[in-house]
Formats: sequence, structure tokens, C-alpha cells
Amino acid sequence: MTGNNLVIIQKTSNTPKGPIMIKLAGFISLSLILINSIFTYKKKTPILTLIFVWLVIEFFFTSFISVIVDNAEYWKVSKNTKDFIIFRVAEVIVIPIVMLFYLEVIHAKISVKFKMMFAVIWILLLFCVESLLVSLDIFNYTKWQIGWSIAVWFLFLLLVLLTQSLFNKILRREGVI
Amino acid sequence: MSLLPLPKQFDQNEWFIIISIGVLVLLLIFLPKRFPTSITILLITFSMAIARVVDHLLAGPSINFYDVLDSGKYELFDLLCYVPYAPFAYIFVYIYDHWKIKGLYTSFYILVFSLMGIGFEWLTTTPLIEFFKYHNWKIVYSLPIYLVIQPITLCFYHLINKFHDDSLKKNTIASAD
Repeated sequence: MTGNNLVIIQKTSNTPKGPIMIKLAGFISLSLILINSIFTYKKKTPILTLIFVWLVIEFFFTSFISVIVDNAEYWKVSKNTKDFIIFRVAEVIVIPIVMLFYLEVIHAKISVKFKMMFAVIWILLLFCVESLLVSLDIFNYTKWQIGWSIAVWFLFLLLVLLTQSLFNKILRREGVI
Repeated sequence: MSLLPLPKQFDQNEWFIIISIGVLVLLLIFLPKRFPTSITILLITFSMAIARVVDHLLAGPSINFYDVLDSGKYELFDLLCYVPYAPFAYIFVYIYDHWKIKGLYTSFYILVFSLMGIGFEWLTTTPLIEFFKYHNWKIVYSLPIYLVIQPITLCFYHLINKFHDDSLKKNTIASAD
């Protein structure tokens, strides 16, 4: 490696935009992997139910974020545009798909004990995504308490289960499943 | 500070939402049933969720395109303010399916409905309703949004219809065996 090349590399790595672009590329890649997975995965839940649950999650989760960020200001999202895009990718793509995978996992004929165990695992998984966003400075807590996150993820998983159950009833009545 | 603030005053925009809910209910009751219940629910949920997500994505950190209802905050009535999109989307798909619109007529149909959407949106910005309050937005910007969303709505309808019919056939064959 010549001296000139070394200087170029140092300059590139010192550019402040570097880490943000890596974060952005990382999150977009993660969301694309999840989108590919949900499309290619051999689904056990009826596809119409998955679509309905996905729409309900999108509606209520974006509403929840508006309440927490804009109204209550419990979370402060970074003003940086790239960080803001990461936040939007996480809330509109990553988190809803992670929740949909929960339905797929518990659809398998497993006991109630295992279903509850998977609920705990999924709450922790969603909490990990949230913590990752905080540790990457995409958003910060202001008056938020960690315990509330656990409660919120639990309520969202409950919403997922309820909407799935209600829609499955309608499909069963129509003879679709 | 309130998580979901109540309207500053209960005026024309709140009445507009209530009347829209009434229109939707009347449409569902009095129009001859054309789609299975699950398809109707999915169409209604889709139109509301897509409007919610587009509104949410357009709310950036540095620019405020428009406010919905009384303030930039997410109010209690904001949860219901996406209902007016549902009768519009339902009628759009209903007529499309009833008249079996095909080929180039589909493009014309989408254009006509987009222009009607623009007209309706303009009506909601007038002092008569005051549903939208534009800041950095012009009504003409909405035309490409309608021209994108409406074909997506038709694709969504065909997709869910296909899933519904396929599952129904599969289930009928399985139960006959």
C-alpha cells in the first residue's frame, strides 16, 4: 500500500458521514432480509390473516409512535435525516415483520407453555431492536422508563394475537380455512 | 400534557369524520353485497393503513407539509380521521369490479377517480371542513400520490381476491375428499 492510498483511507474513515451511512445501509439491509424472509418463508398462518394483522400493526404502531414522540415527547428522535430514515425503516418495516414472525412461530402445534416462552423471547427480541436504536443514537429516551417498553411490546403481541384470532374466525365462517 | 389530546373545539372537521363513518356504514348496509366479508374488511383496513403510513412518512423532522385536524399533534380524533378514506376506496373497487373495467379503461378510471380525489381533498381544505391545513404542500402534489395509491389498491384487491378464491377451492376439494 502506498502512502497516498493510506491518506485516502484515513480521510474516508474520518468523514463524519461514514458511521451514519453504515447504520443506514445496515438497517436497510436488515429490512430487506426480513422482507425476503417473510415472502419466501413457507407460511403456516393463512396469508389473508397475515395481511390483515400486518395492516393493523402498521396503523396502530405508527399511531403509537406519533403519540410517544410528538405528543408526550417520551422519545426524542434524532434530527439527522439519515437517522430519521433509519427510525422510519425500523418502525414501518423491521418491527411489524418481527411481530408477524411471532404469529408464524406460535402457529406450530406447540404447548401453551412453549407459546408463552416464545412470547417472552419475542418481547425480548423487540426490546433488543429498540435498544439497538437507542444505542445507535437514532432516538433517545427523555421521560421513558424501560419497564414501559416491556409493557408496550406485550400489548402489541396481544393485539397481534387478538386480530389474528378474530380474522381467522371470519375466514373459517367463509370456508377459506 | 396529554397522550391523546381531545379536539380544541368540536367543530366542522370532527363532524366531517363522524359523517364519513356514517356514510361508510350506510354503504356497507345498503349497497348490494359484492365481496365476502373478509375482502371488505381487508379493503377498508388497507385504505386506512396506507393513508396513515403515507401521512406518517411525510411528517419529517425538518419540514411540515400539512396538519390534519386542529393541530400538528396526534389527537384522539386522528385515530378516526383515516375512516373517510375507507368509503372512497370501497366505492372505487366496487365500481371497478361491478363494471368489470379492463385494459386502457382502467387507466382512465384511475385518472377520473384521482381527479375526484383531488376535488374531494380540495373540499376538505376549505373553511367548510378544515380537515387538512397545508403548510408546505400544494393540492397538485397530491395527484401523483393518488395515481400511485389507486393502482396499488386495485392490485391489492386482485391479490387478496386470488388468495381468497385459491384457499376456498383448496378447502372445498379437501373437504370433498
